[in-house]
Amino acid sequence: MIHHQNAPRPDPPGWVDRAALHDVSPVLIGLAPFAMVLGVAMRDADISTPTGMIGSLVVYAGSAQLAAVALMKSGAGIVSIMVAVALINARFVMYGAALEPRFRSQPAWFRWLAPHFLVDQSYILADSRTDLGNPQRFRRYWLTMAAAIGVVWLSAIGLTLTIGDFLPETPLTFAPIAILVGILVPKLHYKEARQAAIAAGLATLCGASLPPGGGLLLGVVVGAFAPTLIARRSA
Amino acid sequence: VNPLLVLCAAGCVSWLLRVTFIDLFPARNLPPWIRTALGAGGPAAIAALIVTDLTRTVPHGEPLPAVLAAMAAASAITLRFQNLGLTAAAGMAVYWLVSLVIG
Repeated sequence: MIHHQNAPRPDPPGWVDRAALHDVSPVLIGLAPFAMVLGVAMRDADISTPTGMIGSLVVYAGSAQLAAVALMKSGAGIVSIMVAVALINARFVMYGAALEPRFRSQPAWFRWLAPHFLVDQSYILADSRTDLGNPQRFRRYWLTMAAAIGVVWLSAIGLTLTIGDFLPETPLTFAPIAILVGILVPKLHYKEARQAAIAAGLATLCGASLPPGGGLLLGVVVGAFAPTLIARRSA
Repeated sequence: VNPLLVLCAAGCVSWLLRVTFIDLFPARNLPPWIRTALGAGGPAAIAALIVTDLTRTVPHGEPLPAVLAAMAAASAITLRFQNLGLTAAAGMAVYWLVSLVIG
């Protein structure tokens, strides 16, 4: 649970998961500026609004799409672009592995289609909750969160492609970091989480000069395995 | 190259990565020590994302004192209220104020 003091009331029967909306709402604030950056990049690359919108829905991963658009603009070949996309999104493999127990008891359509909405935000929020053991509950939580993120993401990209920048740069640029800090700090109560966060931060910093996505991938992998390695050494 | 085709191909690559350990090679078949390590993936991913964001923005004009002050404020608000909306608002407000003060 992320919000202890503001836990929402139990959900009424239906499609919308109130807890998912509660969890994802602040995250949406941080998505809009990033979506705008992507929208501007696509405008600069002369990508039309329909292509940009369809592409954003199909890729559903901002950093990788940004790299793909920049590489396209620079005239890179499709193989180079796909390698860059694979490197930047390689962390999704680990996110999927971590969430696999939640997908295991789901119907086939959900197991194959719903992972499309696996992004940093959805992984972090779903991973933070301990009350999603019921398959139906997880399904509703995941789809509500995906719909909310998708609507804001695509709307902000569509607006930027159509009318250009529409949000002031400051202080919204800080929103994504503030939200990540807000999610991370309560987890630091546990020793393993502290070890993981410190190792991940240092590894990401060391990998800052790597190609796009390299530092992030290095940080996630080193951070995830650090507590296990430290425990093995101490044993 | 047609941009829509490139983006669709990028979408296919991303989807394959997403379903790799969910459907293609289910993670339950991974060695136990790897599955244990995956439990620490959340804090690791968040910390890595924060540092990535900072290494991307600070060298390009984001004022470091404002960022640090805002992170401290966001942490304090989180510890006190455990409310993400309030945390984001406090972080942005402090960032804005300190940016104004240091010009």
